[in-house]
Amino acid sequence: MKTTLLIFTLVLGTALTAQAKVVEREGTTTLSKSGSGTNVGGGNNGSEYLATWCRGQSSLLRNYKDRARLKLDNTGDYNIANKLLTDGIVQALNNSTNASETFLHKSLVRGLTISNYLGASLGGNPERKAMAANNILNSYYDFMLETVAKNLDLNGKIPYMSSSDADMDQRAAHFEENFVIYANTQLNWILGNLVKEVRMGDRVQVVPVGDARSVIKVALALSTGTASDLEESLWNYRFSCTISDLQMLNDSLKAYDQGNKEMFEDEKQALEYTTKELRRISRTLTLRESCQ
Amino acid sequence: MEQTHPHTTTDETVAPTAESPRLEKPVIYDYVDYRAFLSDSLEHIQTKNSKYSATAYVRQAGFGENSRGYFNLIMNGKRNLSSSTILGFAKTLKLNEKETFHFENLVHYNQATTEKEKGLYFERINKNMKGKTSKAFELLRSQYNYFSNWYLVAIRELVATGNFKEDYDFISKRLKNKVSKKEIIEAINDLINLGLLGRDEKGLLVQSDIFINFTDTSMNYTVVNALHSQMLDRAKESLSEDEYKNRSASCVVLATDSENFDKIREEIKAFREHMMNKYGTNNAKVDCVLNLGIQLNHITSLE
Repeated sequence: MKTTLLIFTLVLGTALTAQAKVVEREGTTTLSKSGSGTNVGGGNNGSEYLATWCRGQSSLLRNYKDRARLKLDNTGDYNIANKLLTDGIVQALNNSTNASETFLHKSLVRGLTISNYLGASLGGNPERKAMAANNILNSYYDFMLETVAKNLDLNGKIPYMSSSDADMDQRAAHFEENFVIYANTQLNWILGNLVKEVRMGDRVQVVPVGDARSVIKVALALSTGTASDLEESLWNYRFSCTISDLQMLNDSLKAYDQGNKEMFEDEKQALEYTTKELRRISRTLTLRESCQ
Repeated sequence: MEQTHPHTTTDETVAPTAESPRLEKPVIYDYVDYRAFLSDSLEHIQTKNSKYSATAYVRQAGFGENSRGYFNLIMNGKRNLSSSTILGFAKTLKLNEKETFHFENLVHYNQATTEKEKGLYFERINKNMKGKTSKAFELLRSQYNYFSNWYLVAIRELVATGNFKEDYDFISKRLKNKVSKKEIIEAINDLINLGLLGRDEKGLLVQSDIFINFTDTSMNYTVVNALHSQMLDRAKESLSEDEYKNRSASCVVLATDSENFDKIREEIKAFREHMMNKYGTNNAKVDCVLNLGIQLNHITSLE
């Protein structure tokens, strides 16, 4: 039995929920003779709670990643491993009450989108496609664990949220900068892990790490996600051109993915263009310039 | 499971639903959440001018030309208001001096990050509400009292004892004469107001639920600090006032790895739940209220 009391927002919009547990009432007489209790925890310090959450979910993700690797070693079935990697993300998201402020939460949501785009949650992919999805998901797990949870949340945003003596304006500026850093890091993950440049004579050609179609699907998911990250910043006006570029890239990739070959004739062309665009966008974000 | 209600006022009668547009101008005194007030006020303005957007609203409040989407960030609790934007919204909504003062205190109260700040702004709001009636505020006051006065928790448990009587002298005596009659009357009203106590068919006080569990994740520590501080005072008094057989004080002092702190905290949490489940049920008789307080703190500075 669970009761939500009429106890609402006291701090930071956080509702207090009281849970009545275990014992069912059998009338008031029985109730008064059996006992009762009030368990009052010490509460959480926003940032401390988020740090604990981040560490907990990192550990859970590591566990799922290891399980997926072992399963793959034992069965050789990429689909089973991919299903486990997706389950890890779902499990971490299920534990994410009051953690939506973290970058890890954001990347988990995106991770699930990527998994769905790659058909990893359903299984039944042909081996080549399943292998590509497995590479991408493993790489995305590393991105979530090392770059997002460790660097951006635990060593970046969360300690910053709890610092009380820093100058307020400076804190606000850093807080806003986080959105841009996250957006750029996300694009760099694609550029650094999912594509490679191969020199062929005088020409440099972009090749996918795995399967071009899968990389295009990831770019489809993250181009719109990155635009949304930049939109969330108070400085979104500074990046309005970048946001627009990302949306146009997303439209082009979406059209191609749905079979429209007006812009790209084949995957190779779509991948080359995507890589070039993402590289250019990432550079503008690094230089903090957009409409120049 | 905890839920977040950044838009929720505690009084459903004052907050219109999406299906019923707000025709009357929202009154700041009816709100305990400034975000709900801002949202309802925007809705009210839009009933008169459907072209007035959230972007225009925040711009008028002083957020600058390029603040598209910013209203949603404020509503979702992802951004707070600064002193200048508080005044900007007050001006936009044509609040008078007293209303502006109340709005300002409410914003600071909602955004407070320390127990001291929260207490300061609550007292200001409380003072400002004298002579005004608001169901939402009554509930907020009861919430505040619950976590600010140790005896509310004690009285709720006392109701479960076998010989409980709604007699203020009896209650005061059971609380070792540390609580006045006036405080007891207010406490019972607050507990009823919060739904923690109710009345049976004979009109007798009864608990609404056997177990109440305020989890760590459901609230910020600033909410409960005052309660824990007062319980520590009771424990300290017990050392000198109570017979040895009726009290127990013990501690463990450890030299250990600082990373064990979180692990011990988790074990304490599990222990508290275990004690409540084991000794808060299936008793042959219930004739006392015990407080088991546990503290874990560093007694040396961290390097």
